[in-house]
Amino acid sequence: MTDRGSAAEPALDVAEGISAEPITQWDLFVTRLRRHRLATIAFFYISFVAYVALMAPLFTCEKNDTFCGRGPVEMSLLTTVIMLAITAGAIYLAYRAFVGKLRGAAIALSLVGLVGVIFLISSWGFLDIPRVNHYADQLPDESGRILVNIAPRSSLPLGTDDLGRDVLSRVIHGGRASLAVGIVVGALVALLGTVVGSLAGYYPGVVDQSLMRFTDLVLGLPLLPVAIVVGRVLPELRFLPGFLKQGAWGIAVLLGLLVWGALARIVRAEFLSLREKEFVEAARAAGANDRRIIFRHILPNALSPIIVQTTLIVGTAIIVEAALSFLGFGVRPPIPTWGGMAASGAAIAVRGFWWELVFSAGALITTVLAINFIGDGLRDALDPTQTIERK
Amino acid sequence: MAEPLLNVEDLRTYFSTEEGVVKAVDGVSFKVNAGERRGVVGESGCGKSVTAMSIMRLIEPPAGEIVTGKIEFDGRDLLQLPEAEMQEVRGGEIAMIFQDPMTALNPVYTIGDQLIETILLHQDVSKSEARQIAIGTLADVQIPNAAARMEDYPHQFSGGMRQRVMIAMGLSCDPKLLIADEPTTALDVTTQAQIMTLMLELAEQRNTAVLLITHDLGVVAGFCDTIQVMYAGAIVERGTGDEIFHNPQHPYTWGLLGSMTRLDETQQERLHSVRGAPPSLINPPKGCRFGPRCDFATDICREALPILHQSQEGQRVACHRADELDLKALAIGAAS
Amino acid sequence: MTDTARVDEAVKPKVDLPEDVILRVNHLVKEFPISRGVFFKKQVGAVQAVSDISFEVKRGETLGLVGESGCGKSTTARSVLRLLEPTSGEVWFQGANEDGTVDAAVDVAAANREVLRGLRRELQIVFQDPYASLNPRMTVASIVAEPMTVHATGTQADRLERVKNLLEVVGLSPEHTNRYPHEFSGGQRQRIGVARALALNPQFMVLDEPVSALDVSIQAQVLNLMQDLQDEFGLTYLFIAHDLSVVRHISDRVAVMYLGKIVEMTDRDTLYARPMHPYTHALLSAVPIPDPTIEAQRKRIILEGDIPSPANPPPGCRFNTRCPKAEAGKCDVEEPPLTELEPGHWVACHFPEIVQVV
Repeated sequence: MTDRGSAAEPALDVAEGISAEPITQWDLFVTRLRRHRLATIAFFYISFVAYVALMAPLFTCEKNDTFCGRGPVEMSLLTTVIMLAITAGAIYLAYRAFVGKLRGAAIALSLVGLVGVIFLISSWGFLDIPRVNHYADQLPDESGRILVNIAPRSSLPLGTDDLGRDVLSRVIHGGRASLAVGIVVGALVALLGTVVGSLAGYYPGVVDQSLMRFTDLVLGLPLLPVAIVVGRVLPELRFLPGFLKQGAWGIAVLLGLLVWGALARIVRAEFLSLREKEFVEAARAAGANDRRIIFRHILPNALSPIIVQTTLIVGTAIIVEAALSFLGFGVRPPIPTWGGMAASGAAIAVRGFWWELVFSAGALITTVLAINFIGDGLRDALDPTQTIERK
Repeated sequence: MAEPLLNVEDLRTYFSTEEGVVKAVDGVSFKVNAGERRGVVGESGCGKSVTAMSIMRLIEPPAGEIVTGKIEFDGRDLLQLPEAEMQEVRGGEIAMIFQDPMTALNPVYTIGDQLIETILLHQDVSKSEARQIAIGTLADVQIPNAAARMEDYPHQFSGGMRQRVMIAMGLSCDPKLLIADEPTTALDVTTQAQIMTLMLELAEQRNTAVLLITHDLGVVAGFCDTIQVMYAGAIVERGTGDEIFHNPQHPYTWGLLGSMTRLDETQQERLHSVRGAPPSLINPPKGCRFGPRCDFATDICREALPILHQSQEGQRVACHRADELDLKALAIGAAS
Repeated sequence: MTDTARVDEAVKPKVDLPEDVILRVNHLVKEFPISRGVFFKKQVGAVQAVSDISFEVKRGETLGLVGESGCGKSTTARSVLRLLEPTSGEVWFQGANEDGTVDAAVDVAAANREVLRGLRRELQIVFQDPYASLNPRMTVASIVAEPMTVHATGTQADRLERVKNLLEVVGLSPEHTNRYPHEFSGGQRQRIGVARALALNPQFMVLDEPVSALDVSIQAQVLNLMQDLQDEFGLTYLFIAHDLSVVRHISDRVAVMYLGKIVEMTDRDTLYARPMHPYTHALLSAVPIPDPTIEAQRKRIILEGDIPSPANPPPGCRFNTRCPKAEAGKCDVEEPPLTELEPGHWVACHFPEIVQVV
């Protein structure tokens, strides 16, 4: 039989080779990401670190308290809200996994939900959990001795530092600074980089030129010196809200404002090349306006590099924050950060008390490494050139 | 008859991918005699380029692997040669030119440098002799002011000129076999005519055997002595140009010819068009690979894989029904 | 062609086109600026990709526009649709209504945003590369429905219904609406592109090398489909191609372009049987014919050298640097105008001569 049919008569044979079930972009993405073993492990590791850091108040208390403090958890509103969201999400997904007969996922997610529930209950003071003080300078044991520079042992798994503080609880708490930097820098970079980059890439001429020269300027600023100087001035600025003056938030915002340039350049390049693609031309031929072309056609296709690059920038920003704290210009003591702990740990490491340095630096390195692995995994999983072809 | 120059036996080259093993070349056997011009024709994904890469041993493990087969060239099995000796063969006794000459030329060296390097690699001559040979071959491929253009970089040449340089590079060591993988696909039709004419002249002059790989049946018609048509990793028909074009025995060859628009077409008939699309090479259909698209498939076609055999008409064809079908009598497009 | 086809004259921008003309292009020029400078871009020159071409397309016919890469054929098509802003010239489009009456002609090149939006319904395009022309992040349904979404025709449900219908028309299964382009083969993707172009029931379609990225057997399927659609919907095609045998198969009339100019334009059979321009001769003789017997007898006209850069075209006849017939003092000085040497047979050459090449 030949292909003689009139146009209205479907040539059904050309439909061969299409599977019964549609494969969504999300399915493809998840399949490929999971094939990236390292990225999958890194993803779970980062989730674990972030979750534990979020729950730091559960294990520690922030007041000068006794070695085993008791009482309601000191917890900010933000932490409560995030924990609520995570817990609710975990319970919902656990239910979905249960319905979908994914036993492993259901159990894991239920555990996450359960921990969240316990955390939330205890934070309202219903549960009385013994906690470790990580701020107090001296932690006397039952017999009244101050336990400084204690090597790791079963009761103190990561030992104590030169002021007798529990290293484990400080490492957990230090994760909060890195987490704050990660979230804030990620959000700021994605926002600024995408907006600046897409405008510059889509509107050639004056818009492009001025935005890109401004980007060059920001990229040209020496990161560490600027961060040091501004970081010094931050707490003195009257008009800033309190939370920006101390702790990691101010530093995080500052870093976010400094490091978006690289992303803007990449987004611009993406827009420049996507703008010339035939499917964009097709949209124009259909009569689509700029807004539709940008949001419906170009941006979704530029999303992969945006996500990947933002992830990698977040990794760098966490290191920069640690470096600032290490040098003493970042988050001030006694608030624990991995960088600050590495600094004080380095001072005592020369006397053989290696644990504070090793565990804080180890937490930092593994976290940044994991973020970079995730970035690599995302890059592979989102790469449209790797689309699974059906031949 | 003398020993063939190239003897490929039961070549199987597989690639492992995310979805499974792609049997890109699956049991290909053929011989090329000295001075013979052989066309390898097929659509994308039929395994024609992989066949060429396998002969050159340019398949990179672990992605791809020559699973079985024998490639005898001039009395030696290329698959058994140590890599060092294989390098001597590549570019020396077997030359290859590619579709995109820009990727095959290094942009930071002059054309002269690259030509001289190739010559020094394969021939025992001094640098100044190599230079003379290089200028000579550039002149052979009709590049004007050959001596002066030796100092130019690849980007200073047009696409057609670059392909001439590639041919010059390929022929500089007087190979016995030239493998041309879609040499004119990236070029305009007037440039294609220039290049094909040039290749024909040079191949005849030097009695070089040519394996011309292309999707364009028109190009092989004027160039090749013998033609093999590939489909889904296997040869489906092989014969002289006359046999293939005037008396195709395989329904795929027949369909391919019917699909072509012709410059000398006088009335606007509907094209025949082979229905459907080529099969997956991971899970090829049972029986004849062309079966699902074939207008003449019967039960046996769905059961057993046909092997290449001599048909009554003389050429070799891999079709169960080759002898009973009279494709010649069928007006193209009126199969049913 | 009738006496109305005096396209190369300076036609006054007037609305009274003959009723059977759907598109008339007058003196179309498209230049691309060449700029230098890092901080302040300065225009230092221009590439004239299309230089002063005029032609018309009759309702329901297929005009083939052939030429080699860089001849300006795609730029012409895109300027006609105003996907590129023409530098100068007019593009008159005269739409027809269902009852057979024609609307007043509109100059696409001068249309404002509102008018252009309306014209987009009538003028559509199918692209060369079926991989690049479909947004990989959109489903087939949203791709095909896009023109309708943009023009806000019908409800969401109406549009989906129409998409399913269109998919059937182009020979795809209507169940595939929620699939993504990557699941389809090249030929199937090209069908999706055709369905999108058909969505608003256009009258005029540019087919920009719609089959040159496809394998031979798939090419035939798509060519057949295009012809069926033309018959069924009364479409007019401007078919851009570099392959002269494809053009012969599908076109009613053919225009040959070289370096931004039309060098020869006539109906299909005349062009292939009695070509008069030396470039057409060379082009036709270069196309291989899949028949060894014919190939063995053919004489190729091999052109010297390469196509000159459009940034710096040769003076006089643009083909003079490669033309076997060029005469110094004439061809390299004086540009030959496109003139009607036989009824409906336009040639731009100082020394036209009928040569049978095919």
